[in-house]
Formats: sequence, C-alpha cells, structure tokens
Amino acid sequence: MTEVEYHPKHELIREERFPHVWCPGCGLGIELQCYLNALEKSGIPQNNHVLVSGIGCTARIPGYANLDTYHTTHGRGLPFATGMKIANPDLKVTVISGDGDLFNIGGNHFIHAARRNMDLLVICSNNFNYGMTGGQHGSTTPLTSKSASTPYGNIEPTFNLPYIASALGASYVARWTVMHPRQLTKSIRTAMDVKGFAFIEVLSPCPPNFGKFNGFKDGFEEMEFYRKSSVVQNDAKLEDISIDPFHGKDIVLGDFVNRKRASYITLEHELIDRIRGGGQ
Amino acid sequence: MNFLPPGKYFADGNFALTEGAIHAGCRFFAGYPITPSSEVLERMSIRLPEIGGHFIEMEDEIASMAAILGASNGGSKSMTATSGPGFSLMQENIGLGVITETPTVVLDEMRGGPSTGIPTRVGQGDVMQTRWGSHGDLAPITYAPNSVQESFDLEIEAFNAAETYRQPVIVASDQVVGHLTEILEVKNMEDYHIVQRETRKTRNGNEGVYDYSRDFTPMFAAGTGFRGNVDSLTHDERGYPSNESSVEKEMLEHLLNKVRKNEDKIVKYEEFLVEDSKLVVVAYGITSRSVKRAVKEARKEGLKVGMFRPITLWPFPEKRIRQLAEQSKEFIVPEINYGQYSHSVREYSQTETKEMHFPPGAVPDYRVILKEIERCLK
Amino acid sequence: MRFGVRMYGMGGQGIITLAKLVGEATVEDGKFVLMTEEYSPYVTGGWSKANMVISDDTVDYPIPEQIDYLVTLSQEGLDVNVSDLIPNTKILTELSLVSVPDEWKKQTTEISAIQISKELKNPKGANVVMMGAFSGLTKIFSEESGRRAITKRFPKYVDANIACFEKGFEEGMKFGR
Repeated sequence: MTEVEYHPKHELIREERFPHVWCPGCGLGIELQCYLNALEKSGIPQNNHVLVSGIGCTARIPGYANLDTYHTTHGRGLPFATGMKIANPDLKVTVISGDGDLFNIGGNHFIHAARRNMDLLVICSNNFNYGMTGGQHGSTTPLTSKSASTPYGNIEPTFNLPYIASALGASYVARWTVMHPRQLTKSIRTAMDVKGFAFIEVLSPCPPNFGKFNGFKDGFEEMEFYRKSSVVQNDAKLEDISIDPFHGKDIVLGDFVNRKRASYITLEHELIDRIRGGGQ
Repeated sequence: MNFLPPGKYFADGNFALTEGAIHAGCRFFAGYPITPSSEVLERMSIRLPEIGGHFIEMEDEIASMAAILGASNGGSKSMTATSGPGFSLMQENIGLGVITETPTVVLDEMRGGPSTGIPTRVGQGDVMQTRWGSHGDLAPITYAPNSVQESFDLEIEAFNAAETYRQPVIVASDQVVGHLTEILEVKNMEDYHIVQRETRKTRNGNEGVYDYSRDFTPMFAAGTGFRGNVDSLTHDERGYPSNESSVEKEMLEHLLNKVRKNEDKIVKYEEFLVEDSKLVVVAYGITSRSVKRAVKEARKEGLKVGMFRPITLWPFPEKRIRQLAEQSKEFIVPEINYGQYSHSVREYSQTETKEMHFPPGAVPDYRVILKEIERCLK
Repeated sequence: MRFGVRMYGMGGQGIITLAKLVGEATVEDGKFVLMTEEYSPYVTGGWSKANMVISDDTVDYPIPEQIDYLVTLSQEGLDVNVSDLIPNTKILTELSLVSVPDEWKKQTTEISAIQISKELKNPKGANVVMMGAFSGLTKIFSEESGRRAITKRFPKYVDANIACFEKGFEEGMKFGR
C-alpha cells in the first residue's frame, strides 16, 4: 500500500477540517470539488478568491476551502458579499449557498443583487428543501411532493430560478446537476470571468430528507433520477423550465445566458472617476 | 473637499455625524432611508464618492448591516444609519459583527415607538435595545450625543472604539439632536486622534484567526493571503466552528472581557454640580439638556441637586454611579420612554430611583423636572 | 441675554433658509444659537417653522421659553402663534400676505419683502430682505456678519442677495430702536 501524504487538492482545502458534515449520498462534496477545479483553472490567484455563504448545509462549503471564507447569517451572504466586493473590487467573490438561504429568507437580496448586476458569482445548490433543519418545504419544493412540512403534498408553485435570474438582468445564468460535474466545472470556470452577476443553479440530492420523503432509496438513486430526467438545452425558453420532474416533465439544463451588461462595479468606478474629475 | 475644514459651523446633528464619520476614516456606507436619519444617508451619497469612498443604498436595513460587515472585512471602515424600525431589523447582523469581531459603526437615531410610532419626532425607547437587542451575550459600546458638537466628536470616538474593541459600536442619537442646528467647531485634522486599522496579511505557521488570550488581535483583510475562516458559528481561535461548550466559554468570555476589562477606558460621562448634591438626576441625550436647565433653576432656589450624564450608555458607568449613590439618597431618571435606563440605574446604584416618564414626541419640559426636584428636596 | 425667535411661513418661502442665515450671522458675531425646525406633515404646500434660541451663553434647553420675536411670511404664522406671544413680542410680517389685527399693530413691523425682492430683480430673495429687516430692527447680529453669512451660503448669487439684505436692513432700521 502506498502512503498518500497529501490530499491531491491539499493547497485548496483545509484538510484538518475533514471529515465534512454532509450526509452519505449528498451532492455537496461534488459541488465543492467542481468549484475548486474551476478555481484552479481560472488563472485568478488563489488569494484573490473569497467564498461567502449564508446558513445551511451548502453554506458549510466555504469552511472547507483554503481561502478567505465567510460564513454569515441566514440569507445574508449576498449583501455581505456586496459590501465586501465594493470595498475591495480586486476580490473574486463567490457566494455559495442553498436554495432556502438564497431564495426564501434571502430572496429580496437576490433580486436586488441581480438587478444591480453586482459583480458576484452565485452558486445555488438546490435540494428542494431545508436540509439542515430536517427537510421542510420551501419555494423550490416541487408541486405535490412531500417534505417534513408538506406531509400531504406541496400545494405551492415553485420558483423557476434561472428564469428569475435572467429576468433580473444577470450577466450569466446556468443550471446543472451534481451528476454533470464536467459541465458544472466548466460553467463555474466561465462564470468566474463574467463581469456582473453570474448565477448557477446546481441540483443536488438530499437523501435523508427530500429523497426519503419522496421515495428515493438513497442519494445515488435520487441523483440518477435527476440525471435521467435531464435534457441539455442551452437555448431553452427560460419561462418554460420550471422544475416538475414528478409529473413527467424534463429538467432542462444548460448555459442559458452569457451577455455583456454594464456591471455595478464598472458603473460605480465610472461615477467616482467622474465626481473626482478623473474621467472626462 | 476631503475633510470638513477646521472652523466654526452652524450645522445640524446629522451633518456633524456624517462629517465626523468621514474624519474618522469611514469610506463605506450602506443604508436604507428612514426618518429621521435619512440626511446622513443623503450626505454620504454626496461625500463618499468625492473622496473615493463607497456609498450604496441597500434594499433594507438587514442588507445594510450585512453590507457594512462585508465591507469592513474587505478592508474599509464602514457604517450605517437608521432609526427604530431599521435598528430592529439590524439586530441579528449586529450579533454577526460581535461574534466575527468586525469593527463597524451603527447610528440609531431614536424616534417615537413602538413599531412605526411617531417617525418625525423624538424618542428614547431604543436604549435597552442597544444593550440587549441582539440575541446572546453581548458587551455593547453605545454613545449617546446630546449636541451637534458631540455628534461630530463621538462619531470619531465610536469609530475608534470599533477598531480598538473589534465590534459594532452604536451611536444612539435622537431625532432632536439629529435635526437641531447649533455651533459646531471643527479642529485641525491633526488634532484628532484617529485609530488606524492594522491588518494581518500572511499567516505565520499555526497563527489563528483569533487569539483569545489577548484583548486585541488585528483582523485580516480579505484577499491578502491570510486564508482565514470568519464564522457566525461559535468558533475556536482557528476560526473553525465548534459545538463544544468549552469553546463557547473561551470565545464568549473573550468577546465580553475585551470590553469589560477596559471599561475604565471606554466609559465617559459628564457631571454637573454633583459635588455636594443630595439628589442626582441621571439623563442622557436630549433629555440631559432639559435636566441641566432644571438643575440650574433648582440651584438658584438653593436645592442641592446635580446631574449625571452617561455619554457611554454602555458600558454602564457603574463605578461612578455607586460612588454617587453613597452621597445621594435618591436618583431621578427622566427619559423619553416609560422607564428603561432607570432599571440599570436602580440595579447598579441599589438606591431609591425614581422614574420620570415622558412620552415620545417632545423634548421634556424642564419645569416638570424642576417640580420633581423640588418635591424630592423640599 | 437669551432671546426666543420663531420664524414661520409656507413651504417654498425659504423660511428655514432665513432662520439658518440669521443663525449663521449671529454665530459669526460670537453669540450662541440653537435652531430647531418643524414642518407640517404635507410634503409640499404646508407650513414650516423654525424656533431659535439666541444667547450670550451656551444654550442647554433647546426650546425658546418665550417668543421675543416672531417673523412670519404667512397669515397662518400670525394666527396660530398669537397664543404663544408675550406683551413685548416684536412681530415682523410680510405686508402683502399678513393682515395684522389692531391689538398687535403697535409692536408689528410690516415689510414689503416680496415687492422689494421683485424690484431688485431677485424674486426668490424675499427671505433675504426679511433677514436684513430683522437685523436692522433687532441689531441681534451686525450688518457685516449678515453679509458674510450670505456670501457663504450663496457664493454664486452674492450681489443680488446682498442688495436684498441691505434694502431690508434699511427698512428694518426705520423701525428699530
């Protein structure tokens, strides 16, 4: 047996913090890996990368990355990151958090960060429920599906996240699952170069909660279900891609939007130059 | 204009608070409009771009509080300004600032409450919220200016305290002080003591994000290669989360003791004719100006009364109140609320403490306070 | 010496600016001034009011204890404040907008500030005319400090406003002590 001295990514992770807190069959380890792979390929110095999160299972990702990392309060990762990016625009700030954190409690911050085209990369791990608190439903829980707080089936329509992000003017919008790690890595890598607001939704299983409540034997079966239900369609009409896999609807994945739109930081710096008389 | 030039101004409290912050090195402001502090936000939107700082109007006060913490960790001295309803929304992230040891300044300009209350008129109903507003144990630092001059000077002190004790510091002004116009004298820049932020960049060996054995460890600024973890969860000196009660004890005692041990350096108060007083009226903010007038009148009648004005509401000026309790048989605490700070005066002095309740909406009439002084001493 | 002054007008008449000018000029003279503002709840078209305490000594209590001077540019400003006046209150009004009951006539100075400002081709300067009249009438601040306050506040319109101030000062002097 050969002894392995270091984890292959030991420069990028905090080895002393492993094993991680996630459940067997969870997709978040894959997500962390994809992010780190993209970071390595980004050409942006590791010291310039900052990870910010709110609260939840996904929000624990920054704690394992060997970067400057900020684990904030529930839903408030985006405004925290907004302040940090404005104060120090040299940083490459990525917000990585869950669907509940970014779209339920933090929904207002999401719409405003996207509207401002704030120079942030937002990776939203969507597991269709609140994992950390035991699998209650939220705004991404598919119609009729069960959760710890929809024992009779969910009657609330869901958010269609890429459609929201695009409508708000985000520069970059994509959706992948953790069963598409190559595409996801490439997508994160691309988004790291985007000026303005970049948004990537990542579907991820939650075996002990959403998975269990909805009849999946384990995380792998849940992942497989998402993979099989998926089609890649980069030019999809975003208004049509809400997630409803339990009624036979395909889950549409792809790199949907990549457009040039003036970003907040660009406009703010122009304004400061103008006021200070340097930008005539 | 970089800094307000030295000189004498006829200016209002909100102007002084803003310019004081800029003198102190504030280069980032995030806020949400709210009466009566909106003029601070508006003036910041003019002033910060002029000096290469950053201004952003956020979607609400929760976001504003989060943004100033983010900016501070990004390397900027930062602040926000609000009033009661917004201050309520900020409480959770004030706690985030406490546990992550992030310096920043929160201006709360008190108006009538509860809820929307009397938005355009004075109140003092937030003083206990500045003490206990965020959940968990806190050792807050709160300044309460009572004039335009103090609005300027204490804003600088608040920034200095934030940097020295690495936590959000609150300036609890009120609607009248914020809006009244009077003389402001600004000294030469070099006559002000400004605490400049010291940051750590690269990490030496096992050096932690925090050092609980010291009251002060410089913070690290994002992007300089320190690679630290800043966490809202209870964390050890490495910055890593922990569920252990022993870690909670170590962290929490550090957070509390760094302020408690230095109370003598932080606590500020003003005394007026207390040397021989048999009765002490304790008042802060705008109410203290009515009290001072009442005390002057009472002295004309030969009544031995004095005023004690906490300038730092928190930490509570415990030592001095205990001393005053030995000479004074009674305290009176007039406030523009129905009894808040009076509880602390009673608790710390263990002396008869009479509350005077003034409803929000008006400056307390000094004649009413005078009558109460007369009643107590005659 | 401690004076209480109240200034009152309709939104847009520049009553708060008038109070600030008076305050700035008085501060120039080394006196202590404290001013508070109040507005009707309507965003436009309502009343505005400034209360001032002017003193040789620092001002603690921010409320004027008596109204020694009332300056009003609107009828409402006289009607609603009458109950706060004392027998010696000196009143300064805009002639074209305020009709003064006989009982208050002897202590009232009526100034045609609006007409003067129009004649001087500075129709927005009626409040500055009033400032001049207030100075001429009360001598609370000097003519020189008045000019300096105007120069500071209106650096682009110094001459037009100084002209208004001086004419107002002249008018006020006629009624002064």
